Amino acid sequence: MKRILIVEDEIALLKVYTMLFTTQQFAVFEAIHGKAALEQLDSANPDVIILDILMPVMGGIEFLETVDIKDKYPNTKVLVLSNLSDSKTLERIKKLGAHKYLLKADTSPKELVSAVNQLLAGK
Amino acid sequence: MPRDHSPSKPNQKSASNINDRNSAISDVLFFSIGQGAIVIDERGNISRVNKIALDILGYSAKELIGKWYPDILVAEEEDGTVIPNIERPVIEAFLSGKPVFRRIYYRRKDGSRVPLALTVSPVILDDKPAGTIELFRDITEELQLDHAKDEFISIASHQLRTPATVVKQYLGMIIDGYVDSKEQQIEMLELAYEHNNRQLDIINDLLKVAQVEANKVKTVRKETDLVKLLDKVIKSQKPEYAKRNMNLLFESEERSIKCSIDPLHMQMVFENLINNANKYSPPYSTVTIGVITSSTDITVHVKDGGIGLAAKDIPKLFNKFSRIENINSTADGTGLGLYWAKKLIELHKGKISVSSRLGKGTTFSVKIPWEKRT
Repeated sequence: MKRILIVEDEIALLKVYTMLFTTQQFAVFEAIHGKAALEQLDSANPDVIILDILMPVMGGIEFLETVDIKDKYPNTKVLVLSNLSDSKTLERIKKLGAHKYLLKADTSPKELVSAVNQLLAGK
Repeated sequence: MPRDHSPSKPNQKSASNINDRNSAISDVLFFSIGQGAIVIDERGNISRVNKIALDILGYSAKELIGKWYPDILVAEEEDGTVIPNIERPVIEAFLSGKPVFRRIYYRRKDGSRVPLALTVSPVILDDKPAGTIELFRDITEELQLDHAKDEFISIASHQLRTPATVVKQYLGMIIDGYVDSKEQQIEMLELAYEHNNRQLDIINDLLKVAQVEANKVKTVRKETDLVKLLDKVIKSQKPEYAKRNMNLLFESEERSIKCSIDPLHMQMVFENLINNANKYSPPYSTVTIGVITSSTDITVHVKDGGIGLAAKDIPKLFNKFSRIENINSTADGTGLGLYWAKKLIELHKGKISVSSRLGKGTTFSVKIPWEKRT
């Protein structure tokens, strides 16, 4: 069973993404900000992290700055899912080791599942 | 007798009068220009400067006139890079013989930077460049407005995209066939509906803000009993307070306070404040509404026993989209309520103030001067 950590402060979205990946037979772990995600990174040991950017306490960029994903969790893929789309943010998340970025408002549940499966397949 | 058609000889006195007159007109023109103006001669020395330029730059005329222009006025790009003399608009206009328009920054006498929209025109005498006239205006406020507008658009689009995304995901789950049971489908439709309402709230608040900023919102003052109005608002909010086992108390020294206000606008203000007090207070706590009158004004306090605000966050409270992060991420709201409330209070020539301590609670005070007491 693949493991996914969803980091999202909007509870309604966290709930729907959890439901979505549960239907896809994932073991789902939830975090409402970057700090909560850090705290359960070791125990969740996720194959994929879906990461929002604008969150209270600790945002997605700060999360990526705090933990060197590529170095410490080489088998974990990071998919940034945010409504921020300015070039500065996109450049920054790429530099910090995110594997993929999707604009939240443009991504349907089906597209999200497909993007996660592609990441897991190493595409 | 034939008429003498030969041109009359120039009269020295009248020529000098014309010169004096032209010079006086040119003086008036120069000093009436509504922008900063500096005249630079062909050697690059400042020969004239008007008062607006002196006010913008912080120098006296004595400190500028006769000085070599690039020495005394340092020109910079937006990022703080000093513009080399050869690239300065004055030199460009002088050498090209054509006007130059540019945005640059000057250093004032006190070392601070001022952004300017600048036009430099060459002065041509006998087909030769004889100097330049530089006109400029301070665009600090324009840049601040631009920045505020960009920030507003960026936050507004983020605020609108979030509920829109929620609606999309919930409907997408049903359309893409991820949810089979009818109960779950209904639950998802309800959540989508709820977030669609939230989108509408944000749109309505944005429209209200646009109206108030365009001065399209007018107060319609009517003789109103403020105690009755507050009583009505409190009654309407009690069910929401009861849901969180909170108390909502009302203290007034007078049974009736008749004043001339716009009842609808003030009702919105108090609804907003009392609703906020509920959202940002812990369950089982008490919120107290108090009203006090003096000979000059009426003050309404909304005091909660909530989580309070850090001093650094207080000035941000009345900005657009100013929901203070970290306080309570579950509190909903568009971040426009307090901004809107402040504008409505200002339309009553009143003021809103806040006193707060982290962990001790917050008091909002609305002070409105008496328009007419009957």
